[in-house]
Amino acid sequence: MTYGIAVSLVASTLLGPPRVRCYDNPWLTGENGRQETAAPEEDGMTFEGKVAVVTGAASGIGRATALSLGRHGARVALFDLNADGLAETVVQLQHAGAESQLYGLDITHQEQVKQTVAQVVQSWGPLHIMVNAAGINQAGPTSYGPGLAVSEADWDRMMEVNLMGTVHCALAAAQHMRPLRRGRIVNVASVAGAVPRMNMSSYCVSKAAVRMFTKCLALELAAFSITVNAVAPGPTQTPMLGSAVGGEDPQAHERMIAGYSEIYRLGVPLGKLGQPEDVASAIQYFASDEAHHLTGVILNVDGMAQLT
Amino acid sequence: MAFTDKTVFVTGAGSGIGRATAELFGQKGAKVAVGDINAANAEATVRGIRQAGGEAMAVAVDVTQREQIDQAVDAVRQTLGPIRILVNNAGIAHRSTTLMEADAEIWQRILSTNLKSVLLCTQAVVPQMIEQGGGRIVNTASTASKVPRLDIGPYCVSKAGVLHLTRCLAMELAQYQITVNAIGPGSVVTNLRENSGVEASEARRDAQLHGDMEKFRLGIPLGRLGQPIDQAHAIVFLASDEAEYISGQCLFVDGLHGQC
Repeated sequence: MTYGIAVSLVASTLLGPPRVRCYDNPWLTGENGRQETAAPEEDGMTFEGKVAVVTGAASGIGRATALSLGRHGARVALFDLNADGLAETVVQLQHAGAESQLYGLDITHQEQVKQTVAQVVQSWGPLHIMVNAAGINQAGPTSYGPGLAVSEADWDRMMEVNLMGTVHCALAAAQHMRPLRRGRIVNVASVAGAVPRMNMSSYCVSKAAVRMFTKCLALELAAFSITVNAVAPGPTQTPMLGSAVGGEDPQAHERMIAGYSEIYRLGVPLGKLGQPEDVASAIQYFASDEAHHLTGVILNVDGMAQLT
Repeated sequence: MAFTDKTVFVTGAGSGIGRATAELFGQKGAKVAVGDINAANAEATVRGIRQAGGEAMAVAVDVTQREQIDQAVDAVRQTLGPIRILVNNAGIAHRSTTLMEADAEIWQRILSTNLKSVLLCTQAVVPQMIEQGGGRIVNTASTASKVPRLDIGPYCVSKAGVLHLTRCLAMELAQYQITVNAIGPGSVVTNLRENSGVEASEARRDAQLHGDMEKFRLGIPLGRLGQPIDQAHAIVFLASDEAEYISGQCLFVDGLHGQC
């Protein structure tokens, strides 16, 4: 198909030839993911004709969201720093019969963001949906540790990626959506942005900032019928999980589900980790036409890990 | 379809949000039990669902009466199969009153119909869900669950109760893979006030939409009153298989009405 050729051209132009992919890593190939229970054409939610940008699309929640939107008919522009991951996401989208285009960029650079979003609009026409799923929980060696010991560089980097990356992308999208008086912006916050955690202060603060930015932007864009909402994942099985909970072993996961004093004090009442697809479903709902009356909402997808 | 072979029981489905929800579930393949205290309204909702090609039955029930609820739930199980999804939507408003003046009768009626009913229906239905290995409960809360309003104090308190009961039930029922969530409508175009025997006016609608300092401060930033179908889509989302990791939450579908 011609878009496949276009994708390869874009990929080789922007990123050089694709390198070896890690097919035996279940997180990259989605083998730990939940199977969809209803085929897209049966559940009545369609994104045919919609243009979506998904940041952080190389892995985890971003990839699951891109796949979900693509399966439901959207054309998906994939933003990330990770070239290998992006290429794998493209392959999975192709298998699903969906059209996508990858863009390697650093979302902390505002001009790069503006130019790349403009490129998407130039290729595919007006933008309907922006999903800000790119984020980190380790900016440097002091990110996980006492707040008193966080270095200025690590603090700044965490805020740059998690908050400013989201801000740059949301504002760039809004510029294109405003004249059309419609649009959907969905951010990925975290339960860590509402409940204090030990040893993760810069991450928590960056996510709290995303929550408030979501609400403020919702208020400002309401007059243009652009909705701005956020999902707040709890413990989710993505490549970022290990650095959040101090280990990638099953014991670390069990301890978190049962509850321990540092992070998930009362554990996870639903008794299991979340999957990227759980979060992607909520993002998809916010991005749908049917959700036109919701804005400024933060929805936890966390198995009730945040109790208050 | 997404809800094929699933039995859904919606209370207060004779009109408004409940009716829109029952209809939407019907369109998505569910078997719908339409509960309402007003039998004629319930029958009308059922006719609409059947005309659209869905399967439904009407159930006349007063959700403040546990015996009626038990009978209703048994009848639904026998006709449509065990209930997988429960939507506790029945609710009433009351006349404008200050808290200083609200009498015991208003409190008893509002707390019983809006809050205790959620508990009673849940108690009656949960055994069927446990049997099936899981389920979904969605309760109709309100922006009034968290935003104080000057003339409907008892209503606000009843809805705040629904919100927290949602969370407490979610904690308790998590072990059975039953999720319990709520929706928080803002100002929606329904017959809530008329059905509750309370005066509804254009002036009030106007204040809700544009805001007034006394009650509806922020108005509705998204610039229109809510429609029942908006709430229905939110309920259907929370009741879907895909929402299995969402519990104890309240989805405020209110055009930013309640963020003040």
